[in-house]
Formats: sequence, C-alpha cells, structure tokens
Amino acid sequence: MIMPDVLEHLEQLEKSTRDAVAEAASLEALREVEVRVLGRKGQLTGVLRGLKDLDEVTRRAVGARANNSKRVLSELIEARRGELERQRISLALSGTFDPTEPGLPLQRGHYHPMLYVSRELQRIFASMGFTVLDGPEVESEYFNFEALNIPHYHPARDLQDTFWLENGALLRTHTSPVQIRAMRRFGAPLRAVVPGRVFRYETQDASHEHTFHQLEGLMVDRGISVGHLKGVMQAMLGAIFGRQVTVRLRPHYFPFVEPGFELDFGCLLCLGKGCSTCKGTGWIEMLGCGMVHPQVLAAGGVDPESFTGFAFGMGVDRLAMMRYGIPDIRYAMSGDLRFFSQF
Amino acid sequence: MRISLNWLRELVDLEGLSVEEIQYRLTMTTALIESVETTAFGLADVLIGLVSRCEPHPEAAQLHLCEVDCGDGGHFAIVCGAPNVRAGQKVPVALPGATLPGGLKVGKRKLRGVMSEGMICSERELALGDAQDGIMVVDSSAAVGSRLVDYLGLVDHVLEIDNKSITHRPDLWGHVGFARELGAIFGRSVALPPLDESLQAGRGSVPVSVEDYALCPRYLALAARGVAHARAPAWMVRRLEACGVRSINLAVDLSNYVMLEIGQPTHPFDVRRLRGGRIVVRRARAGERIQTIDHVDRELAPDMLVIADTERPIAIAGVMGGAESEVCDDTDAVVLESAAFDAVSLRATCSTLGLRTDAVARFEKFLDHRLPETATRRYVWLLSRCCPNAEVEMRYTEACRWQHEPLGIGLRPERARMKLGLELDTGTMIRHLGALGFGVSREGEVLRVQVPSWRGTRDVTIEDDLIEEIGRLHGYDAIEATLPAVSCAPPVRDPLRDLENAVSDILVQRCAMTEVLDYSMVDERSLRIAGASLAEPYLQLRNPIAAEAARLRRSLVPGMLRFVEVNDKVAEEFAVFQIGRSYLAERGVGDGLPLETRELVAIEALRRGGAERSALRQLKGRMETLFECLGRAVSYASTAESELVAPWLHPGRCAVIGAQGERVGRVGDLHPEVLARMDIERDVAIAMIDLAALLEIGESAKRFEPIPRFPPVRIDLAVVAGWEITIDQIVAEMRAVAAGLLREVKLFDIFSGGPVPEGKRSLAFRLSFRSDERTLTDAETLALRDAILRRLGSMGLELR
Repeated sequence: MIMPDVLEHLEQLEKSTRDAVAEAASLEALREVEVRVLGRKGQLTGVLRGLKDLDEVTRRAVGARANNSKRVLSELIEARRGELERQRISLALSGTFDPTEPGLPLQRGHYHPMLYVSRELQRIFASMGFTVLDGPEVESEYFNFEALNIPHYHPARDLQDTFWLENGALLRTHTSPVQIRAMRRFGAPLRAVVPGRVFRYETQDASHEHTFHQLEGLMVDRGISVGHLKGVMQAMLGAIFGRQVTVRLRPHYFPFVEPGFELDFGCLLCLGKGCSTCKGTGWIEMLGCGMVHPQVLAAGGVDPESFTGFAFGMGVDRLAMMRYGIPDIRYAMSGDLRFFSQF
Repeated sequence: MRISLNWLRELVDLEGLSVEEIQYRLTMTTALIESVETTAFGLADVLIGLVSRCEPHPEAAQLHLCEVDCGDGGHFAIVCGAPNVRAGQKVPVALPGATLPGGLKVGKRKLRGVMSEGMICSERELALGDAQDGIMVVDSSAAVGSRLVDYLGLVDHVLEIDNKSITHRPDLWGHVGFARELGAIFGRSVALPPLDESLQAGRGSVPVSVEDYALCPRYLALAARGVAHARAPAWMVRRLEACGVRSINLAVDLSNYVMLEIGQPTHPFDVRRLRGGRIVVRRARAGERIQTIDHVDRELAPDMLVIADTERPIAIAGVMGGAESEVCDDTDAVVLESAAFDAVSLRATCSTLGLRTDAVARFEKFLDHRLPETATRRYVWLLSRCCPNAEVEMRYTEACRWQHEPLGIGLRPERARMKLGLELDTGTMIRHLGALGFGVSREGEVLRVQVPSWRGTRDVTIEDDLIEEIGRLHGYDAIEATLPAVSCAPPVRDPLRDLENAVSDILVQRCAMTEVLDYSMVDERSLRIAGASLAEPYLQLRNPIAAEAARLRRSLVPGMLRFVEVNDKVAEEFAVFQIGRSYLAERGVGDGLPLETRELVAIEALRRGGAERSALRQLKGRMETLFECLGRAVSYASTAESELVAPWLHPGRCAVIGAQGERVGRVGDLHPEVLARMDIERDVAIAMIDLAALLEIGESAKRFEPIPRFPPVRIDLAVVAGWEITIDQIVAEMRAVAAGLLREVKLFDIFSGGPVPEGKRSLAFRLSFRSDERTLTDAETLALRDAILRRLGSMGLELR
C-alpha cells in the first residue's frame, strides 16, 4: 500500500468512527465501536501493526497520523462514554418506589413460646456458670419423693397429684429429682439448672395443664446462704427483665428445703404501688425456693455439715404467659399455627 | 382454712393492729393469707330504728301500725305483730331487700290491708339469740340509722389461709396456733382458752379397750348426759359460720368448735347406739362394713383402724363417724372420743377409701399427743357454760401408751448466721426462739433448745428447723441479697441438650419451621389413625386422665398427626417440628424406668396438585439444610422391607437416613391410608430423626482447600432414567469416567410425565469440570462429556 492510500484510509476510518461514536446510543454499542476500531484486532490497531512493514519515511508519516487518530478517537470515545453514563444514571435516577410496596417474602419459622422462654433462662444461668442438665421424665418413686424428703406417708404427696405407671414408676411431678441425680453425679460444689417437662394429675383448664414446664436450679457450695439465694434470684430476674428488680422471700413449705420460701418480685408495672397485675400488692409471686434440706444433701451424697445450698423451681409456662399475655395454657399443646405464628 | 379475727382477739391481744397489718405480717412470717373476707352474718341490711309512733291495727287487734325513723336510712311504715313493741323503743329494722340469717327475704307487703315497708325483728329472726316472743329492743344509747352489726360489734374478718403453706405445721390447724404466732410476731400476750381443771383421769362409765396401741397411742372417753335438744349459743354459731361450719346440735357444734380452736378433732357418739356399753379400738376385720355419716356404705380392710363397740365398727378412727351412732337432736347421753391416732396408717386408710375430712387434714399432720386431754377439758368447760343442765362425769376413761418425751436440739448460732447470711447476735436468736415458745439455754458456744410439744412432733426436729424459726420471725427482708463468690470455671455442657438447642435454632431460623409440642401420653385414636399397633409394649398409666390415653408414646408421630388435622383449615401449607422423648420399656435402664429416646419429628404439609413441588422433596431439603448446618455428613438409601417399622410411612416413597453405617432417621411420604383415615386431602411428608444417634456421628471437621486458580467449564446434560437406578449412582458413574476433573454435579431439573415415557424421569444435570493445573480446553471438556454420555448410554440411559 502506498502512503496516500493509507492516509486516505485513515481519514475515512477516523470519519466513520466519529459518526459511529456519535450514533452509539448505549454503552454496549459504544464498546462495540471501540473494539472494532481500537481493539486488539481493531481496524486502527491493524494499521499501527502494519507500520513495521513500511519504509522509514512512510512509517514516520503514517505512524504520526495513525497515533494522532488513535488519541483523538480514544478521547472521543471516552467523552461519549461519559455522556452515556450520565444518561444512564439520570435514567436510573428517574425511578421511584412506593415505600409501602411489600418486599419479597422469605419464610420464617417460629419458636414454641414456652420453650423459647425456657432456653432464654438456660442461657442466663449458663452465663452465671450453671450447668444445664436433663433427667428422666419417667422417674422412680425414690427419686421423685423419698430422696427429696417426701416419704410415702407425707401429706405433701397430696400437693402433687401424681401420674402413676402400671410398673410402679411415675411421671415426674417436678424437676427436683434431678437435684439428687446431679449431686450424685457431680458432687459438690455444684451449680446446675434443669429445664424440663413435668406432669401432675390435674383437670385441664385455662390455667392448669397436666403437662407443663419447669426450670429447677441448685447451687451447693461451702457457706451458701439465704442471702446468696436472694442475690442469685435477683440477678436472674434482672437479666430476664433487663432492669433492676427487687425480690422478697415469704415463708412457704416444701419438704426438700429448710427453710422454704415463695419468692416475689416487685411489680415492674406499678413499681410497687399496686395495680391489677400484682393484684394491688405491689409484688408478683415468681417461684418456690429454699435452702436444700440436709437430708436431701445427704441423699445426694453431699455432707450437709460441710456444704449448704439453695434450690429453686419455677413454672416456665406461667412466665411465658405473663410475658406474652397468653390467657390460656392449653394453647401450648394445641399445635394451632394461628397461635404459634404469633411468636 | 378459715380463721376468724374476732375469735383470735379472744386469744391474743390485737389491740391497735389493723387487719392489713395482721394479714401482712402473718404472710411474711407464718403462712400465706390468700384473702380477708368481711362478714356481717347476713345482718348487713339491718338498721337501728326509733319507733316514733305505734298504734293498733284497725283490722287486727294483735298487730300494730308503727312508724320507724331510721335516720339517714329513711322513715318507714311497718306493721308489727310483736306484743312488746312500744313507741320510743330502738329496734332492729330489716329493710326491703334484706335476707335474714334464716333465709327469710324481707319485702314490702300488705298485712290485713295495710302496706308494711320492712320488718322489726326478734333475736331469733336475726340469729342473735333464742328470744322469739317479742322484738329485740336495743339500748336507748344506740345511734338511729346505724347498722345493728356495728352497734353490737359483730362484724368479723375471716382470714383465708393457704393450706399448702401450713402442711408442715400441725399447730396451725386451729385458732390457738395463729394466736401464738401473732403473740410472737407483735410481742403480745396470749390467753389460752380456759379448761375444766377439775376433770380427773380414771375409770369413767364407758370402758375403753385399745387393741392396737401402735395405731392409737392415746384414747380418752368421757360420758355426759342431758344434752338432748340443746343448741349452741348464737356467738358460737357465728364463729362456726365464720369458719365455714354449719351448726347442727350442741354436742356436735362443741366438737367442731374445739377442733377449730385448738386443732384437735374429737367425736361424740350417741350412747344409746353403743352395744355392750364399751368402746373397742381395733383393726377392722376382713369384710366388715360401715355406713359413715355421709351415708356412704364403705368396705373396711384389716389395715384400717376402727372404733367399735362389742359388736361392730361405729367409726373409722380419725376419719369419719358411723351414721348409726351419730348424735342427733334427741340424743341425751353422749360419749366423747378424744384420741391420738397414727398419722401414717390414717393417711393410708383415707387414700384407700378416697375420703378426706377436716379431722383427717389435722390428724395426718402428726398432732401433739397432749391435745386429746386438752380437748376433753375444753369441751367440758364449754359444755357446762352452754348447757348448765348437762351432767358430766368428772372422770374420763383413758387408755394410753404414750409418754411425752421432751425434744432438745443443739443450735450453733454461727451456723444460723452463716446459713441465713445474716449477722444476728445470739441474744436476738434466743429472744426470737423464746417468743415462739422454745426453751433456750446456753451451753458454751451452743444453744440447747427445748421444742414445745405442739411443734415437736415432726415439724421442728433438726437444727435447720430452728434456723428457719429465727429467720422468719426476724424477717427475711433483713437478709441482704448478695452474689456468692465462686469459681469461674466454665460449666460442664450436656452435648445432647446442646444438639437439641442447635436443631431447634436451625429449623426455626434457617428452615422456616414452627416448633410445636405434644403430650407424652398418646390416645388410641391417634394410634389407630397412624396405623400403629396397640399391642406394642407401651408403658401404661395406672391413673390416666382419660382411659383412652393411658399409654406413653413410643414415637412422636401418632400424636403429632393431630397437628395436620388442626391446621388443615388454618394454613395453606405448613412445616412443624417437635423435639421430644419416647418411652421404650423394653430397653429399660433399671428401676422400671424406660429408655427415653431423644427424637426430632418434622411434618411438612402441602396442598395437593399445587406447584411442582412435593412435600417429601421440600422436607428433605429442610433436613439436608439441618444436617449441613450441623456439619453432619449423612446419606440416603431406600428402605429395605424388613426395615419398614413405621407403619405411617409410604413403603415406596421413603428413605433411610444413615451415616457411618448407623441409621439416624427416616424421611418419607405419609402413608396414603393414614391420610384416608384422617380424611385429609394433602401432600404430607414426615421426617423422624434419632438425635442421640445423630450426636454419635460427630461433626465433620472443616479443612481449608485452596481457592481454584483456573476457571471451571460448565456443561448441561439431561438423561431419561428409570427408578431402578438412583441419582447418586448416576453421579458416581459420571465421576468415575471424569477422573477427578468433574468437580461439581448439580441436578437442576427433574420431571416425569409429558414427553417422558411412563415409568421414567428426566434428570437435568449441570456439570462443572475443572483442573487444578491448567485451564481445560474445549476439546478436553467435550471429550469428557462424550465419555460420560457413552458410559450413561451403556447403562441404558437415554440422552435428551
């Protein structure tokens, strides 16, 4: 190819490219033009590659011209690209959104509210160094009663109507038998909580279920006192409610503790002034507790002279019902998704 | 139990104490007072009125027309028939609307043509006394328009005690016990009820022979006559009423009164019914029967103690009297039983008979054996005042093998301080114990404490019991809440419980499932619907709530099927799960305790004929996510027929989930017959996972692999396969051909029907080839693809 032809070809290429760039209506089309002309196998690149075959004079003239074209066209393309990008952004910016248009739904599941509360309690106690333990739901009379200082003739047996099995075993009436099992397994000192299902032979109504959930707790160490019981309960309730809680102890009777208490906490709604939630007393009954009876320590293989301890047991269902305002305990076993999907 | 405050006031000085204060301090020191009830004995609507005018009735000589001024209550025209009514008297007036103690409703009514706007009452009508021959006239100082009960000071407050909180306190089952508590709490003096001190032990006219002193350590019998038609005085009737006890006749009322006062039950027999004139305390004979005063005919057993005459039982000892020997209105001569019975045997008798009485509630608490004598003396003291004509023998017969053994307990003040967490000086401890009736002496560092007889039967027996006494009287509010200073070693963890919690979290949060719970008992209907056998070795309840739900579940599935029914109309589609236990008796762990499995059961229910999803694939997907999140590598295999032990699973559309050669569960469609029995048209799948087995598998270790340096090449291919070859097998063949270069196989489409021949399915795979050494060339990948197709073709699969 002689020089004038080449130069003319360059001129045409430059001109047609200018037109193509101006006509490119999208970034994609512009990119195509760029590749066609300036790409690795592009037309202008082809000219530049061909330079090496030319004599020096021609090469110098054509080279200067071609490099000039390349620079001009590159700038042109960049300018057009900027223009197109601004167009694209301004187009994107013209979009609107109805903020009330629902998002695309992901399915979610639901925890059982009673179990959720129980697990929350477990986490709180675990954070306080308590081991979370399990025990059998079908229990022997010995562990459920005898070892807990409730001999067969004891009137307290009437307090806990029992489901008996044909084989002489029973459905545990409380999680307390695990106190004995835990002391025998781990000895003292010991800190443990036992969540679990318990059973009472009771007619069902809105506030009574024959199957419900308890959380039992036990702490045995040297020098454990009623003051420690109060302190741990106060800390636990503070963690549940997320604020400072006051507690008080009232005397109550449970055969496996001495002394035994009912623990109330100061009503958080009226701050002790008295309201419908606390029935005007300023206090809400929370759980039964006490200092582990020396005979129970002994039944667990722990020396009551060297160790003392406290124990407590609370109804998890009632706590969940209080928290969520559930009026009827029977929902817990209903399986009704209209209930469960609320939690 | 109900405690009358007016009654208490007679026993302890409560001057200046408000009802609220008494309720609060008792609740904080002694026992829960559930409520306080104010009672006016049906007289709340009776006012004191002044008879301002009194004229004869024009139509009837014995009637009077009165005008009565009730002050702010108003003026009333009342027709009165009493001979003693006079102008100027102050009288009790029942206004229209009032209901009098006898049940009479007062209204406006015409008497011989004249309207009467109320009623002027007699003592009898107001249950204030026996006088009935005229109206009651009150003192001229009484304020007109005030309530009669206020004027007479009759209003009573009744404390309702939570019985559960006094299960351990035999002494609190009567007013005297609460009087002692209040005396100690407020530092007030207690006046015990007066007793007849002249009564002598000896030989009364009714001989007693006790055949079993173990069951009846002490028996007192006292004869009295002259009680026929005698009635308890109005004040006593009111006290009984305040405590919820109906008045019957003097002999019975006195017995109840003494029980409510000092806590000792007694029983009067009609002497006429006592054959052979003597009392025999013995065990029942086999086949003996008695009709008790509730008119139930009861069969007795030889382990039951009875009170008998020389021929037959006349009472079940300490439980209930016999109907035949019951004291009635015309009974003139009675013999009063006041005894101590063995609490253990008595409780056994009651539970056999299914009978509980107020007497049982007291005897079973291990009563103070001194009380039978106290009760006898108190009964006589009251009898002689309520019925002056009664003749009481001044000797009672006593059969006794009991001797009071004083109980002394050593108390270490240091231990009390430690256990309570309260810096209490020893002197204060001694003072508290003394206030509660304990005798205390110092022996060096130890206190020697004498337990009073009314606390020493079982209630207070060890040092810790004394510590409770000190703590409660001092007030638990004085104990400061402190956290114990203990080791901060991390607690031992229970891996199975951790796994359960992890499963629940993943299924709820990742797999969008809902956690439900079901009973441990399973009913026969559920078992039938599930197709489960009723004859398996179920653990059975002796006392089920409902006879058809006496079995403990052996799988969570049958009971959970009801959730499909419950939600059928509630939700389009749902996926629920339960983590729980089944009870396998045949794999017992000793003591009659079964193996308690730890199971997960998940149920997926879709509408039938909906989108191209199946419940089984959806549920399997959730389970795969679960295992992946748990880091458990499992595999799925078809179920051999011998392994198909779950009758509720579809025999063809189900899989065994296994790992390391162990079976950890199953997943499959619900058997169509189960759906038919539930009459439910749905696509339902079930997964059953043994969590203990899953725990055994262990978590697979995570290891870093280098990030690929060369890009993969992806190729899609689809084959038509029958059901005799599994997808896993096809993939294994592909991998075998591709010699390590086939890095990933994804099944992205599966369908049958349409162009796919009957009995076949179309499977579309996306294959990713990749080398760790270089970029694969097109030629290499095509060669791999062809080799794979040839292999699949040789297996009889058709390329689509």
